[in-house]
Amino acid sequence: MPGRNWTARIFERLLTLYPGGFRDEYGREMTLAFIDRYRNATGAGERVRVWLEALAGLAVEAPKEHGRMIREDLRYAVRTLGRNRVFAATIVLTLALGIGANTAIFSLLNVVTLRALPVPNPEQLSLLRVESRLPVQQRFSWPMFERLRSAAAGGTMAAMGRVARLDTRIGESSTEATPVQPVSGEYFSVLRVSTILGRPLTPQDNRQPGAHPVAVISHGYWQRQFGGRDDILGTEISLNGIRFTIVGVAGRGFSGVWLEAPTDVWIPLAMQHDIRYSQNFSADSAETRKPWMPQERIRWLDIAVRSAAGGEEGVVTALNAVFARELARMAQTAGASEERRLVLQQRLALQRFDAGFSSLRERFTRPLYILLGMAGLVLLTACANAVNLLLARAAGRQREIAVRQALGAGRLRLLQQLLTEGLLLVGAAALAAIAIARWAGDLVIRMATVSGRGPAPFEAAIDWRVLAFTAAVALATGLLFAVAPALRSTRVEVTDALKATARSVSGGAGSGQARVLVALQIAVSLVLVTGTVLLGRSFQNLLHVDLGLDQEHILSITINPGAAGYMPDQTAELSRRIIERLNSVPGVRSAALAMCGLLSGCRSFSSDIVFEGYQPRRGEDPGFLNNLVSADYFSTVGMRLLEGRFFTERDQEAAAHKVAVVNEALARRYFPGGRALGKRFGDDGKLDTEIVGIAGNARVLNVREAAEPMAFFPLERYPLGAGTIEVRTSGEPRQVADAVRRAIAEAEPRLPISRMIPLEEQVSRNLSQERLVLALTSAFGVLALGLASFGLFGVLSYAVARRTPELGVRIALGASRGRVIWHVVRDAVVVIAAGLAIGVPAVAAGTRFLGAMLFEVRPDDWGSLLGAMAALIAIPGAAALWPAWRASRVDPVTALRQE
Amino acid sequence: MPPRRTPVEPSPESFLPLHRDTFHILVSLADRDRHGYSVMQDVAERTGGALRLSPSSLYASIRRLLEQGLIEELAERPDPEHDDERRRYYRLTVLGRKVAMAEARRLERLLADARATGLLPRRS
Repeated sequence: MPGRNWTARIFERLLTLYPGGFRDEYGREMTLAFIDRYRNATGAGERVRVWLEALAGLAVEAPKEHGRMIREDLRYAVRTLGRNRVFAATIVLTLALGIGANTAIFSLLNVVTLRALPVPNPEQLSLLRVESRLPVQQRFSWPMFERLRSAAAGGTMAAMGRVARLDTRIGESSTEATPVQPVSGEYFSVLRVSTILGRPLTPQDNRQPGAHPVAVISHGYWQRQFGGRDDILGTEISLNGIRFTIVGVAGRGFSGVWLEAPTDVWIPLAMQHDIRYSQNFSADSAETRKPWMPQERIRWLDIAVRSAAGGEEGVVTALNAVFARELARMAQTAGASEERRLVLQQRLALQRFDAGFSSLRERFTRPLYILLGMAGLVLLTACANAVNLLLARAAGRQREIAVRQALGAGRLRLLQQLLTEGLLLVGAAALAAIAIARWAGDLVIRMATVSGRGPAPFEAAIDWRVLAFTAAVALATGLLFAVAPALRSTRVEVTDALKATARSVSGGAGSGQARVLVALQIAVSLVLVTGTVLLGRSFQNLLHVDLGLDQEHILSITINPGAAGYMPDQTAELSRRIIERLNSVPGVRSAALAMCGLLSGCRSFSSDIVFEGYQPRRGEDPGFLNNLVSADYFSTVGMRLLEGRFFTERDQEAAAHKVAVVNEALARRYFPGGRALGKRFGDDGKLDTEIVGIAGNARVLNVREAAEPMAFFPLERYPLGAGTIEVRTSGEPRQVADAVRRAIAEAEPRLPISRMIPLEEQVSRNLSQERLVLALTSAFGVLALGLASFGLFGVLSYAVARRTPELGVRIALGASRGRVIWHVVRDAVVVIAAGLAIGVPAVAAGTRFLGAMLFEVRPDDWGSLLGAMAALIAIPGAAALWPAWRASRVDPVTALRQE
Repeated sequence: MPPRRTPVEPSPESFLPLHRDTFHILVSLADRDRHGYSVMQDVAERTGGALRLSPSSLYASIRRLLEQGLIEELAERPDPEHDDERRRYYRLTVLGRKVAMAEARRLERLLADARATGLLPRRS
């Protein structure tokens, strides 16, 4: 009956949903029963019902059978591995290191680049940026914010300053400086952060400069400082001497929009002047000493925008309509027509802000991707070792497998069993890897952030993304390392394997495959070790780069005269008192004050400058970095004088004519032949400042980058205030730190010192990225080298063990021990040479990625490659000696008896 | 030499309560040996069509019952003239019979309880 055949065939096809074993056993019976049932059904309705019942049964029972089989395989695998604990532990540890390296790096990438702000719908947040071909400041003034805000829907734009550390008093006791962010009243509503106590800040809190001393604190701060007290609202907290009333506590888990600067307190922007907030601003002939809020010419705010999906374009259009009017006004003051054109071309654009701000993100994203690549290489070498171990065991298990096949186990069934074993090992390794990653992740964050000693400012949490990544890596690892050996071990000629003795079975760790794997490990190790050597040399170069300063004997002290109640124009007197005191401290050779400290991250830039005799190119905006310094600054920090003179006390006086010292880079940039001495420059088109000295270039901002054009002005002439004291010591700077601290307290007891650090340490912190990359690369290099050596050791040991009878015969026939040793060492030499041969081109390809991170070392540096090759010959070579020596100790009689 | 463990036959009570399908299969094998389709038919008839085993659930139960030693597969075919020789026949083991009886008694006790409390009418 054709109908029956057709039905049977469909049913049989459906049975493939079952595991093979079950199908083999019961498939035919099930089909027969189904056909009988179908044949006896009367009418079409009944037949449909038979089908439906059959399908429902399949849907329920087939997955159950699979589950049962997996459980059985797992039980079997646990039993088998339990009998080989050393083997299992070695594989788990090897793979855990490999997977752990990847998980650790990924968890960092995750927290630094992928994780979003803990607010509702973070993907709707953007940051407002100016797109321009002119070098523009990406900040906005308050009046401009107000005009832009009027163009957008209510509650969709918020302005904010940066996070400032303010001196804090709660009640009568002073606490450590608190990270505070001044924000507009829309901040909480735009971010959609609610308060768990009290209320958030609102636009009502931000109407008049100085009139709104209210604060919202973070949940964490509430817990830490106030023990989570319920009656916290109304409590006063003093920030830089101003009393604020706490009106709200933000929801748990929210700590602001800066990844590495968790914020504890938010206050209205209107309080800027009162707390003497003065950072990250650009001012163009503005009154920086008066409240900034009403001033058009002080740009100090970032603007965050929330727009619904698809609504971004409308927002940008509306904002640009307002912005166009701003541009038209700005263009009127622009000089050349070219500049006017460029001003008018500027546009506002939205930039993703779902993850908030992070300077780590900018510095570490690329290195972390490179490190992830390296971790991948480490995992490959780990896999190669695991494969070798499995292959070696597979050779030993051939009899077991053959027996089970002879007893009727299908190949697929056996394969499944071996894969389960492999995946069990990988699973255990993945769990261990997560533990490794947690520990390593925190270590790395502490290394990467400036707070080298204290707790990390944020943690590399293991979230679902990290777990998914680890699972994916583990699965790929499992497929890579378990499948090949499983396929190999189930491809056994049953009769041959049963007849053979275990020893004479072919394949296994001594085989060609294993050697190829070890050679590949060596190649991978060569890439990593070369990378380590290159980065190490680059780091050495950076540590010893000539900064143009006396970096060994400088103590840098960050101070905040504003917090002690000093207005910037009162700095002169304070400066004199401090220097006088410091000069009397034994061990201090000289001291000076400056606006910006060395390598401190503080920078100030002057633009739109005219230089005597210099014609700017089209669209060029001549300018320079600047710093305000007291008289002894240059001799204190050890800058060289090339021409002219440094400042004298007279230059600091208000009546004296305006003078500046410029660096060599500035002289060469703006004056032909660098002949700048006696020349004049100035802003607003006035040539009112005379260059009285030319100093040697110094790397004051950054260790890596060559000096940019820079000018120094007398501190007391320009009332922006001092932010730093540089002290030159005769010995180790740390030794005088306490005495210096006491001397400053004597000069001004109220003056807060937020940081005191030897310049050398500052240099080393400045290199945190390089140090981190170097440390991790070294760890990976050592790990890969260790794994490769262990792999070679394993392969040779196994080969020696297998060939013991043969070696016995050779020795019995009179081969010398040296010859036997050479016999084994030759194997090692071949494997290492093959690995290096593959490795050298791989190095050429791989080190290119390091190019941007290297300092005064070329990625194709031959010395580094040769050094790495030497390590890769010496260390795995040493690992080969033990098996070789053991081979030479083979006792011919015992060996032959074994046969 | 390590002490050798003698396998102890599990007590019939340790299998209770039985799954509905399982009990019906054991009952249908109580009076004679049957092949799979015959079990399906018998169960459907006895329950008036209320319980229809699909091939999938039937053979999942059969596999489990074989593993537990409650039924066994027969080597010979008891019903050769009206059957095709490929079919497998199953029979209750001694343990299987004990288990089925224990379950029947358990249900009987439940029934008695229901009557005693007046949930069901007393038997006349």
